[in-house]
Amino acid sequence: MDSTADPKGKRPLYQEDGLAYARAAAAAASATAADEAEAKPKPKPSSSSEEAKPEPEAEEMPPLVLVAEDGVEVRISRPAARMSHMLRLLMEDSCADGPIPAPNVHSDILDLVVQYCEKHGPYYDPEASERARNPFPPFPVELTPTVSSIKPVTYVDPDPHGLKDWDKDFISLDNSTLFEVILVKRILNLLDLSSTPQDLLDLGTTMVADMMRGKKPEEIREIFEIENDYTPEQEAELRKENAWAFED
Amino acid sequence: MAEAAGGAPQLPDDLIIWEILMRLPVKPVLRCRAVCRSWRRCLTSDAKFLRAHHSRQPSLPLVTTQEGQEKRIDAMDHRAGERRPVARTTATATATATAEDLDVLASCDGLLVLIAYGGLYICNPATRQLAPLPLPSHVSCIAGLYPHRPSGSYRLLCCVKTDGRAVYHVHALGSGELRCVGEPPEPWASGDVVTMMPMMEFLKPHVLAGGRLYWHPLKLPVKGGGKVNNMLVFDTVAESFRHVISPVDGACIELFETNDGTLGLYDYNGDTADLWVLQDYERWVWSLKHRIKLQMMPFFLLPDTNGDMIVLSEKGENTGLRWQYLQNISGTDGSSPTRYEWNVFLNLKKLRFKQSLVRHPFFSMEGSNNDGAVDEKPLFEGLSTVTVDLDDDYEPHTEESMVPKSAAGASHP
Repeated sequence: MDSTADPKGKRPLYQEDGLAYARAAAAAASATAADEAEAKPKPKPSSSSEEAKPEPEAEEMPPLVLVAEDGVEVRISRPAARMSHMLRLLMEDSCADGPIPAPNVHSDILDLVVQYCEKHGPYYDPEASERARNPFPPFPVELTPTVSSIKPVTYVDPDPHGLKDWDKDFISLDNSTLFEVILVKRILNLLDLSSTPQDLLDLGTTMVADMMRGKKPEEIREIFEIENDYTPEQEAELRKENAWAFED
Repeated sequence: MAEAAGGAPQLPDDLIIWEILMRLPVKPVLRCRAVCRSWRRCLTSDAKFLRAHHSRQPSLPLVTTQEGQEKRIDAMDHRAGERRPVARTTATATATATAEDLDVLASCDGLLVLIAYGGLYICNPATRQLAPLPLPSHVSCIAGLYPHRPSGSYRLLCCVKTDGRAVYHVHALGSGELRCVGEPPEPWASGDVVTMMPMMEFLKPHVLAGGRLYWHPLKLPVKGGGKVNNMLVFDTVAESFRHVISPVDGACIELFETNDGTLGLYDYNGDTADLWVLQDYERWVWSLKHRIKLQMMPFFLLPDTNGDMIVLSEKGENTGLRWQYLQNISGTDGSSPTRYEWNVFLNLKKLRFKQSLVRHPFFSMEGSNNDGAVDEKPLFEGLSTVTVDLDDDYEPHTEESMVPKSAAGASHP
């Protein structure tokens, strides 16, 4: 536990290779916690093929334990943990039984993220969000001309569990917390910059983007704490270039 | 990245730019260029960012209208209930407007071909680049605007009526040349079709999908007698024509580009709308995706790239002014949560517009006006957003389940 500085104030660059780091750390943690009898040993080649479907066993297994940088443990149930790409991989590799360190994340923020995952977890279906994003999936290669695919059209309540309203309340956070949440969710997902799954990162960044729409450059600098490295003449030149964008 | 004294973390620049700024429409992105140098570098000249930003923009249908002396082209955003301004001319401009103003003939990758001030122009409303299109007067209609993938240039396909026959030419923007690419197959090269082409382009314009231009099917005669629903296709890379038989025989067909880049077709027959998608171009195999039961009788259907549809329906004539309804019908479940009041003087075009901040070199080559000399023909002055009124009396219906009929995918060699 690092007690030399206020954990919230310390924010080094996030770790790119979070997955490898977490795996190694989790392996080390479970190796030292030798008295955890129920921990699965390192994956056996013979049983890996049977572990294709973690879902049926998920409900019976104990929650994962995430350890924030301030040492506080935050528990997340397995169905909720499936929402994180990284945690899902850890669970499939059976590295998820010991405490999983979540470096650079304060427990308050981790709590918020876990709250979100617990709320959305039971309804999370990775294939459904894929279908929503891509209503015209790639066609199979072998195709007989008589294949038909009529889908009966029924009225489906687009939001049966009231998740949208819950999300709106949830994401009304102050800037500083909002940014922390965005950063954490990104680490947990090991996001590839060209694709963005509909999830907490989306929610958070959309919120920030909406907030930015009507703002002037000086207000934007304040939000992100960016230094203005233009001279007044350069800035005036820029504004003239696209004058219409700076009106109203 | 320095740590802020306030305790809020600093988001790394790449996250801000690629996850947050990417979601903003054009105006705020332009403002963000004035925030700091590293942002400006990326937002102005990073081609990857500009292309990705363009692909995230919503594809909105274009609307032309005239209100008093003002002629406008707007983009209709049904989610926000607004008509966003794209271009505008007024009578106070020193150049004279003509009766054909203001109209859009083609739209592709954020570029528009417009008729304004009696002439043809190519423009990008987001970057405000504008250039006249010096096409000769014997060009009878613009049949398509498309990117030519192998060379990276943007090209116009034009139809020139020569001795009653349709002869097509290609103009690469900025090249100053009009190059002949030949005639289409016989049913499309002569006769009434040739005279009708400009009107057809106006009502049901070309669709660009998967590198090919498709035109709306027409009932044309075939050898051996009779007529079939015939579709003309132009391959933009091979620069050749082909004609094929439409998978459905109906009279009300809407073609569109799906967000996968393939061709989609909505077949509307009174109370249902069937969505077909082209699966294999070479073998001409189509697949029926779904059937939506409609709760109203639309007289106008405009498909979206994701399979949704915008429809216009009549409101009824007991109001003094003729009004209509506009609503969006979801392609996945047939639902339509909101409905708007739509004025009959608003012309919904079957062309869609997606803003792009990518700058193109051909604007200066066509002989443009970027140094301000074109102020005599302003297109982007005084633009303002207009709210579209919601229909407060609308109650969305609950759709009943459709029993699937057995229907095979059509295959026409």
